[in-house]
Amino acid sequence: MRIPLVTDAELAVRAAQGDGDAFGQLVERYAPAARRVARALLGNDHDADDAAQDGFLAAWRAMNRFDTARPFRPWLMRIVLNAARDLGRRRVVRDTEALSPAAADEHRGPDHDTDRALLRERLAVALTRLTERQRIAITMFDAEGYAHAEIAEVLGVPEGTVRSDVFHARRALRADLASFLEVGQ
Amino acid sequence: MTNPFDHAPDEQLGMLLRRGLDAPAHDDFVHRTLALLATEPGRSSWDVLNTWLRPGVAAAVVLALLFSMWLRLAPPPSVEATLADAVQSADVPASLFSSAQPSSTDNLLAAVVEGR
Repeated sequence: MRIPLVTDAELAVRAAQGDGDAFGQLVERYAPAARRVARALLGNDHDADDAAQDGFLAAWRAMNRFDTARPFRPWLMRIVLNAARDLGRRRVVRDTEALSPAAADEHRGPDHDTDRALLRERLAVALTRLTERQRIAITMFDAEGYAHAEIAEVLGVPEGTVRSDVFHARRALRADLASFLEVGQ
Repeated sequence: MTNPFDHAPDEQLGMLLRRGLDAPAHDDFVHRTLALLATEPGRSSWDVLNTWLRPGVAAAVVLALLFSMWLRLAPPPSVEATLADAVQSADVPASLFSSAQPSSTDNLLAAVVEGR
């Protein structure tokens, strides 16, 4: 695992004191994870990017209230998720269209022949079969490497609930994405 | 028997999730976000000071409590010790205090002035 030269804690302390460059480094570091988690929740890239951007903006505004003794990434991810939920509520009709299995087949992009495009479509459909909490839990645990306790803190639920969500989500995704998993083995 | 919920990250599924959820143009996104943040009004020095306010007040309260406890716990100096310190620091002749009769004001002043 690559250890960053400057730790999150150091950057967060500087950002909390108003250092925009330090916060910019945190944006660069966490943008991929924030966009993936937002996409798992919202189902499309455009809304996910808007939500991630709203989240980073809200985090910057709240930096002076951030407790620098606590870890930065669960705090940031909670803000990004709240931003994604807000956006999801505002665009509920559009989300329904984007997340429906039928829509995933109809709205293929120009690169629909590639494996990756197919994976994205299948994954989008598979994720719609999970609850919102399961989507977040499986993405944060398996894709982003968060610990159960961190996810529990982000979601505001007991750790056992996260373990259960990951277990059920994993079983469902393994079934829905079996062909991709077999290819990868 | 192992707990089915006590699992480690599934590397294979994690890789698929990242591939399937990864959004393109990371640099563009970061540039757009940083440009948006740059339009935010800068935080004033009062905002920065505000971040130090609560811990600063808490530290001051703790120091005040510790100081008041120290004052209460420290034994007050005796009258004799205080008087002896004053005599030593002013070079007042000890004869003034050894006499059975109290010294007159003139004698006391004279002794202090001579001592300088």
